Amino acid sequence: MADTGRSPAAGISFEGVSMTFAGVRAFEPVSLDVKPGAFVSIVGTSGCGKTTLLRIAAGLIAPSEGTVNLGGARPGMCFQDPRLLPWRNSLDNVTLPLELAGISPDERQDRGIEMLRMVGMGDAWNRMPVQLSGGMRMRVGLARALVERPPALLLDEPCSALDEITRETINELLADLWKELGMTVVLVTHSLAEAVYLGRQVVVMTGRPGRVVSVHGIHLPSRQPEVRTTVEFAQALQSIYRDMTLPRPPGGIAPSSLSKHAGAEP
Amino acid sequence: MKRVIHSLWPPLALVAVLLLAWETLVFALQIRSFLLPAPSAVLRALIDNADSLSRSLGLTTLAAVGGLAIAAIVGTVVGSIVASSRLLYRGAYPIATLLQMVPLVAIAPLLVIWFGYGVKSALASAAIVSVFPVIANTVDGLRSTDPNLRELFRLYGADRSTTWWKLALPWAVPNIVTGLRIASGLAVIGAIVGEFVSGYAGADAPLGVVVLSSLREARTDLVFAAVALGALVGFTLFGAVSALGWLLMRGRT
Ligand SMILES: Nc1ncnc2c1ncn2[C@@H]1O[C@H](COP(=O)(O)OP(=O)(O)O)[C@@H](O)[C@H]1O
Ligand SMILES: [Mg+2]
Repeated sequence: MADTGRSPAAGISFEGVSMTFAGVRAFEPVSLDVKPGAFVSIVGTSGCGKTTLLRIAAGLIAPSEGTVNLGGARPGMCFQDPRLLPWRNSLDNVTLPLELAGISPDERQDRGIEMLRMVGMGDAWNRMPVQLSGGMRMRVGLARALVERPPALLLDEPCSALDEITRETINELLADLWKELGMTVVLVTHSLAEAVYLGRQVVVMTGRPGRVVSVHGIHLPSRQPEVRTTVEFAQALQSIYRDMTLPRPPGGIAPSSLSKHAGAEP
Repeated sequence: MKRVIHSLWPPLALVAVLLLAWETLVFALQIRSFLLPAPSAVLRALIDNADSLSRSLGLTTLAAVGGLAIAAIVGTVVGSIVASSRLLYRGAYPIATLLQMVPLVAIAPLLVIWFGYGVKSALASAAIVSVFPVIANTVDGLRSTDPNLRELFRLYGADRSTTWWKLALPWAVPNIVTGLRIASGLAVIGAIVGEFVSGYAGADAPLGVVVLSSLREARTDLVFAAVALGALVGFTLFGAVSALGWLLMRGRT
């Protein structure tokens, strides 16, 4: 494989960034400092403003207050739905950012193929999106987000539409890409396990209006899949879980419906 | 191919049965040829006049194909302009709705003033009646472009014209093809109506004129022959547009 080269990583600093939609506060001012080359996960319930925060970071919308500094570079971005153009094959989808940046077809093709290889899709370069599984489409979406070698990668719940096994493999891929390319990664997810397994820091947000409640440094004995059965991993999950204050019915789930089924067993 | 045959044989068989019933009825009831010619008489008229009819067919095909081509280009361009601005869309939408009530063929006689006698007027008539479904479907398609994909293009700094060319237009292709399918039938109607008012009898008479002149001579068999050929033009155009659509949308689904 050709020399992949590491992207110069960019830090992302949010300074008092808040958003108000038509008079309704989406989230309170957020100040966050993401160091160059960091892998930060953001977790929070639906509607707490995670997507809006990423869109502000990407420059797609302007915040109501505050500023985001990304060092002037355009980040790569990947969404829950990979947003592939259905009339283009994998390669032509991946090279779209290069095409829009006016890069020559030859160079586009080389860089696109190389990126597809990195996400394990080198052989499927000429397949159309309809011919790909959900996981493969996400790989193509990741390749497109990274083809410009952006200094930062913003991921908005990239795995939430995927099945468990596929999600595992995409998580491993994300970890590998981060190690290999060295860009800053901000991963929005609503899976605590995913956030802890991949993130070196986990930012916890709560909703209505959204705000950042805490930032956890994650220190695990390893980053192998088995780490998820360790005490350290469970403790990290627990401390985040406490901060999220997920609403639970008082007294827990009513046991009646469960015991009825249990009682039916002879 | 197998699938084509599978879906094609029932309607073909039905047509054969209906033609046979028509033939039988005409003979059984001794219907006079100038009232209703038997299919066999129409076929004979087709063969006997193959030479002049093929020239007529050529002229009408030219008008219909030319009109449809103009409608495709003008329709896509006008549709793109209308869809590009919210204000323009809001202004044009009610007008387009009202325009559908205007009997456009009624302006066909006017075309003679603008384009003179002959194929140009027929072509213009075909273009005018077939352009509206193309405009309407183009606008619908362009406006339905996935906002998520628009956001993606915005992320990569694409300007309006690039977004139109690389995103909105390909996105609207299925709609534009649908508009063209509708337009293909209308183009033939438009061409023949145009010929009714602008054609002249003689060696080079288009199908619309063949219908009128044969009627005056009580050659109903020739009228039917001309109508059959007009239908043939319509079917062929429809087939060609569908094939083009298939080609453009290959691999998407
Ligand atoms: N374009 C918009 N206009 C109005 N309200 C919006 C818009 N985008 C998001 N919101 C609101 O802002 C809040 C945060 O949304 P979002 O960032 O999508 O949350 P999350 O991604 O955490 O689920 C929600 O209450 C949502 O309804
Ligand atoms: Mg979201």
